[in-house]
Amino acid sequence: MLDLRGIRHHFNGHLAVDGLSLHVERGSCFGLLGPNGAGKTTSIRIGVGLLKPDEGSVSVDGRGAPTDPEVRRLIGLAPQSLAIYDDLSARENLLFFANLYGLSRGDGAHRADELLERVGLTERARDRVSGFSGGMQRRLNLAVALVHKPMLLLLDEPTVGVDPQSRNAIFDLVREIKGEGVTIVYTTHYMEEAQKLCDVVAIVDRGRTMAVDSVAALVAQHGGDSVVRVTSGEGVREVSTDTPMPELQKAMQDTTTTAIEIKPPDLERVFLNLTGRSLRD
Amino acid sequence: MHPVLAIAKKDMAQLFRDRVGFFFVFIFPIGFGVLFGVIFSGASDGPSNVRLVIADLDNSPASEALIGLLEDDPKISVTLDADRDAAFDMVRTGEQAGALLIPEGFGDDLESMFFGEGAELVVSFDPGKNLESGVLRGMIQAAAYQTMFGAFQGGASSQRMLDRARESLAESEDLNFAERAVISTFLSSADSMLSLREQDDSEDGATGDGTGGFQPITITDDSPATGSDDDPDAPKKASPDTAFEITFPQAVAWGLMSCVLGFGLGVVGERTRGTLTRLRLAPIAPWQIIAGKALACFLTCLGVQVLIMSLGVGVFGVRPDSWGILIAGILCACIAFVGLGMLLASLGKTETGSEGLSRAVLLILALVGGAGVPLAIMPGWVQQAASISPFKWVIQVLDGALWRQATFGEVIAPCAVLIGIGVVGFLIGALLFQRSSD
Repeated sequence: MLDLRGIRHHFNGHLAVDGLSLHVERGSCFGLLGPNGAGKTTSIRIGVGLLKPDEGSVSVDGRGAPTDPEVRRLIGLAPQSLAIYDDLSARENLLFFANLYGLSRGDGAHRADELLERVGLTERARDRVSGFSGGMQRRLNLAVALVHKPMLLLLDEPTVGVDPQSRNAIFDLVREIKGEGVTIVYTTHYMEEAQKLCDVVAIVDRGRTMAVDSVAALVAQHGGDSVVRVTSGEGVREVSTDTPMPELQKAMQDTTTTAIEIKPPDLERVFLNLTGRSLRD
Repeated sequence: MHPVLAIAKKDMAQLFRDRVGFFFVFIFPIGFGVLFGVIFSGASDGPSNVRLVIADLDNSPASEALIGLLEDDPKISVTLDADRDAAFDMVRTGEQAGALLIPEGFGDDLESMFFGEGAELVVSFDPGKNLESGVLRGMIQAAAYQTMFGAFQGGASSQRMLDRARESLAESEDLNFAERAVISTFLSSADSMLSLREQDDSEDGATGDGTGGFQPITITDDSPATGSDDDPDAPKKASPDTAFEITFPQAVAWGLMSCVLGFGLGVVGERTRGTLTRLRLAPIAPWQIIAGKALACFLTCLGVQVLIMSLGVGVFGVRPDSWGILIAGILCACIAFVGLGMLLASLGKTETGSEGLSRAVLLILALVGGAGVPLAIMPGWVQQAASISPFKWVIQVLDGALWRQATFGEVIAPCAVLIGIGVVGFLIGALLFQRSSD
């Protein structure tokens, strides 16, 4: 659905994307996981045609570059910044963008009401966005990206600054949208989100793709062993092992043991092993 | 709905919902126009307590009579000063609204009005006080003619006037027989009229106007240099019917300034909020985004001008001399300020930066262009620099339409300048905006 090949792009004199290549399968949820400043947002902007790469090419659904308005029509974007008008109501925001995408008045109104229902904002439909909580604004930001029924949805850090309730609502919505066959590109620096939602994850750092695969394959290839952490009278002991049971039995036999924790390999560990630093650095 | 119209409609909805923005675009300019209109006109009675300094170098009964008439007028506060230069300096420094010099020989000249060059008065008015000047000019003229007629209403001075006229007629070598006969007949008639007056105490006789065809009193204006004196292109002077005809064009200027500020902030806000990203991602051409925003600015500029002028005409007695010029001026102002707004919007990267920059530029242009202080009292170099300010041209065209009795030919140049500012500003602004958005 989305192909980025050999993308290089400088931003403010700094190499923001360095030879990035991605292939996103139709109907999948593709995660771009990396810390802030890794080049995720720049890659997204190139992917939707808002930026022209210095090198490389972009193709959407095999129809060509997203600079073509007809190709752009296939794309929905929920930017990291809340790209909504806070002095308009939630419904007015949706109607406005529906109009720009060529929906008729009736279709636009129908679609707006449907999306408001889906993001749980029906009761606040006619309220100005300025009175919304951060989570509500995030949900509306996502709804606006869906107003024209895109085939490819790019979500740039869609849960930044939201409460747990809204975060879960966004997760549910992403799963629903994916269930409808929409291809999703999801950028985040929260490995839990990538792990929960994405079929395939690309680990991105300093503008480069470090690894691309399913979460399970990435963990198996780059996650390393599980870590058994034991707190006892001797202090805290961490053992890295691919067979944690013997370590567990040993700890349980120690009468001074007060806590045992098994940490299986995860994307955080994958990132650490691939880049030598933490996702939150 | 067409994308351009949708963007314009959205921008206008945003403006109307922003209470502070709405206040500065619509309410503040109207308040400005009304407040200063009331201040300058003293509500509906015209200016009161207008300060006039009089230098009486004649000290004749006629000059005293003239001063007495002016002192009796409740609207004028008269100060006497024996020194001509001191009196005129008071006007230059703004201490007095006007100065009246009664030259030596005024009384004698008044008595020889039938055969000499007539009496002369010299006046000077503060160009920054148009209304007071207008009032003073009218009152001085009225008092001067009243003094003249008083001198001719009988008594020794009138008889002396006729006697001296006869002597002068006898000495004159330029007149032919017929002219002598006519003037002699006139003097005899005047003699007869004076005799009848002496018999009849009634002083309410019909003296008539009698001034047609000759100028018994000349009032020379020696006001400080004004734009109209120095600038041959400046429109001819007429007088406003009401102070609101002066203050409402200025109110329009302030309204336009607020429109441009709001427009600039709106454009920069789209960028900083991220909504510009969405707009650019939508399947519409970049020019449609710019055109939509420009249309919103144009309609707002148009709306604020129509509102202010409608209020002026409907409530405050503003009576345009030319509706055609007024409409042309309003439309040209819209074009100029859309272009200016586009240019300023493209220069600011953040809302705070854009607001600061726009406010500074617009305030300077407004003040230099005469939107606050009348251009006439600005130094010469400021008056020249004012040509770069669209405010100057807007006010010039609107003044021309409201009270300066400008013709279409006279407003073509200002209108062309406004359109030029608009087109150039818009093109440069759109180009910069497009570049900064990539």
